[in-house]
Amino acid sequence: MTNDTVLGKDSAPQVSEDQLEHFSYDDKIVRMFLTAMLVWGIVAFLVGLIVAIELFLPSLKESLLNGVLASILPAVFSDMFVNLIDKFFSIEYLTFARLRPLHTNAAIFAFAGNAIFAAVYYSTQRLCKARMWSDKLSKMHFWGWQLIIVSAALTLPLGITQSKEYAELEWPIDIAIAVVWLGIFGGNFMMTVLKRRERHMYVSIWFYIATIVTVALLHVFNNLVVPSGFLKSYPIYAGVQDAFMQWWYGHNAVAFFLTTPFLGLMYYFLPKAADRPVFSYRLSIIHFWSLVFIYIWAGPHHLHYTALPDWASSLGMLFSLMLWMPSWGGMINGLLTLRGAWHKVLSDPVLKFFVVAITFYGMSTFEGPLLSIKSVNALSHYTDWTIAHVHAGALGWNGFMAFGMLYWLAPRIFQAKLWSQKMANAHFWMATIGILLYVLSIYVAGLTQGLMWRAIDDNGQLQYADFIVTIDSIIPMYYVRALGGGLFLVGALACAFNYFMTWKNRPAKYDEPTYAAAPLKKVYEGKEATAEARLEGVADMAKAIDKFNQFKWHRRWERLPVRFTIFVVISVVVASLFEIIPTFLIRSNVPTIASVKPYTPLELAGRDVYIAEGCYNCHSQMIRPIFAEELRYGEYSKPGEFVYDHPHQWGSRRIGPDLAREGVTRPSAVWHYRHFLNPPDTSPRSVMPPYPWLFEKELAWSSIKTRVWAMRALGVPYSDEEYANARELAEEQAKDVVAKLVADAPSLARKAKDLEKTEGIALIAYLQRLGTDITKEVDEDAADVKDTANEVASDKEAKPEVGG
Amino acid sequence: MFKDVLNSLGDYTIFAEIALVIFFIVFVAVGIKVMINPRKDMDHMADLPNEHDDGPVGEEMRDELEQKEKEKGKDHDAQ
Repeated sequence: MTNDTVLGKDSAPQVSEDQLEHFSYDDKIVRMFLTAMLVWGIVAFLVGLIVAIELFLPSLKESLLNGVLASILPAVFSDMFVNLIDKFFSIEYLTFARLRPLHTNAAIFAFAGNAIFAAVYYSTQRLCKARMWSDKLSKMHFWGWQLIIVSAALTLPLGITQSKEYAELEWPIDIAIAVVWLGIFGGNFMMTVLKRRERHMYVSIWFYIATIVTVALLHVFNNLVVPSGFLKSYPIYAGVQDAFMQWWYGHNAVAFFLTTPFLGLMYYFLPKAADRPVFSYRLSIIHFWSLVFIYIWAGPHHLHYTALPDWASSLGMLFSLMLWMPSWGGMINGLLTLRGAWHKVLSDPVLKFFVVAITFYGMSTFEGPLLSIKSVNALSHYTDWTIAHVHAGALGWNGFMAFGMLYWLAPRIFQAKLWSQKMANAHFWMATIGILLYVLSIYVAGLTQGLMWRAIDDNGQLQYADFIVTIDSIIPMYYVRALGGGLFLVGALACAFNYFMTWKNRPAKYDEPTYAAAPLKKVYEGKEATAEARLEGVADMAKAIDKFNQFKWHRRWERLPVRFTIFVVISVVVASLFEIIPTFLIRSNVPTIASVKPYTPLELAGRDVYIAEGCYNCHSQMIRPIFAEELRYGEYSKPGEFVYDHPHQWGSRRIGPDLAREGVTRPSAVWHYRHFLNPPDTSPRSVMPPYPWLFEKELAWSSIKTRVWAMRALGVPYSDEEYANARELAEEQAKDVVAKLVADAPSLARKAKDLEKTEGIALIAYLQRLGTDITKEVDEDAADVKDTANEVASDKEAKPEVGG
Repeated sequence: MFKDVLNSLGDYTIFAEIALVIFFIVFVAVGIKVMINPRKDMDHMADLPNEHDDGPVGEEMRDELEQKEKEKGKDHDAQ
């Protein structure tokens, strides 16, 4: 097959047949990534279903024993199910808080990640009319990425985590990600683009370039840490700054991992599937530059009404609202590409998936800016509304684009017709109904939560003061959500079967067609290579402006990948620095509080247990200055309270109550002890699982000193004495905690010695400390300390304000 | 040094205004640029994914679809 389409273009010089270069495409790597996408997708959906069920386990058990299910099922089955549930979910590695990060990482980096790579490898080679620069690097990329995913699947349930959402993986894995992503994948991709035979870089390539460079930047800067062991580290940022960096990363992970590469995918595979050119290439250019420029600013909208400076969150809101324009421009461009091909949508499952995906893209990108508006965010933040929004994007946009691409690619890469169109159509309907059930029920749940949390009665008191009432009311919605998620999973299993059967029908040996195209000259000779001023008899400046106005510069960018990449990096970096520099370097943004002191060595170790158990997945530590919130949890959180929090634990969701003032509201050790052993003992109808292993597992005492060392390296002002005697101080405090525990519950006296050594005691010490610092008197000696991380900024801040 | 410079900036809300101005300039520039680009070039670029480069089964499926489209067109004309 010759690539004669290139030869006739004005921009490509005419060449004779003997000057053509012959080449083929590496589709094996596409088959590998597409298969991995499907396998990991099923894992991600399955784990998602498990964590969805965990949220209504107590209700499910009750139903099996005494409720509706008990009346339907024979008693023997009900008992068997309850026993199975108890056994399965009492495994410490399978708690909601440990599995949820596994679910999100599997969905984002394994399912969506492998989908991106399959799309990039298929489309880049064809758009560049060049085989990938190195097949070996492609393979190394595949196996390296799968190894990273397996490492995540092993470490997250083990509680090895940085506790930063979507960036939970510990530092050795982070280094591997940077090497595989930028060094291997990025290098191979850029070299392929550099040696391409198509002069123009199609818009999909632009989106891929933006993805590669921006994800690398985000990943590296959000994961700067000081290790305190092989699989343990502390971020260099603390409190407000850590939260800012995390959501700069978190939001842009959505933008540059789940949006830009999928838009590249859309701009390539949608015209392919519809057999129509893109509706408006002009619009796609505006879409690209607007997204790249605007998206990077929007992160702080995740931190409205928190201790983040107001100017930063307002800026995030403003840019989020501006995102409406390019996002909807892109959606309209996608849908209008189907002009004249809508009749195909009725019969072609690929187009069905694409149309629904683009519709979900439009819905999600409408809802995102809506949620960024401060007054809406005050209601929606920490509720399931955010979860509904995320899943509309992840399942609807990313999931449907990925499955649409899979159904389009499968016959081409396996060189066999799709085994069953009917099954593909059935998958489409199962997935569509599944998403709708999921998303609609969780919208209802989120709104219900938000409204109940803020409901005030006629006496000015909370109408639903008991937090569990707000959970009780949404349990039916959790059942519907699990049903929707289950349907989505069944659909994916049907897809896997269809995919497998198509693979079975492949030829004994794949045909590898050869294509031909002329090589590009190193110096571009097309008519747009230079722009000449069309004006005579005017000043040089006017000539320069005229040349600029001819906009040859953009055509040149589009053809020069290195320069194009540099401009993308500049757009992203400049935007980031405008927000990051003031947040980090202007002291008044994070006023310190004199009475706030570093955690004791035992509290620090307890905090690490809190992180390992993933408590942040259900509990926030951030009381917003909202009346109902202060009534429920106490005084609102101040930026200065978090200056030693490496990493911050603000959380993004409240399946359980906020814990920012836990030490003030629940100082009793015995309450926590009973709560961890069996949460309903202290909080009837709680959906929190029991954590008996906390009082069986010994704390890693030998590493306490190293943890303090790492904190000192980060500027946390531990004295030499505290560092030298870290372990002894921790052991002493553990004895005190247990002594108070025994005083309240004398029956524990016989196992006091064992309890002193456990993780649970350290965790209780940490919880007892939470939120108590601002109630303490200022230590005058400490206030004299200069040039340290806890420098006293102002006397005013030492006496916190009261009220909202 | 940077800290001192930044701490003396005073009203740093100017950062937000600078950001908006930069965005506005870039947005307008790109907007004008795409309007000026020749239509022929744009059409060529928009159709780049539709090269015949999807392997034997891909091309066979494309031919089948084109055949169906033609037949539909004929039926439509006949009616």
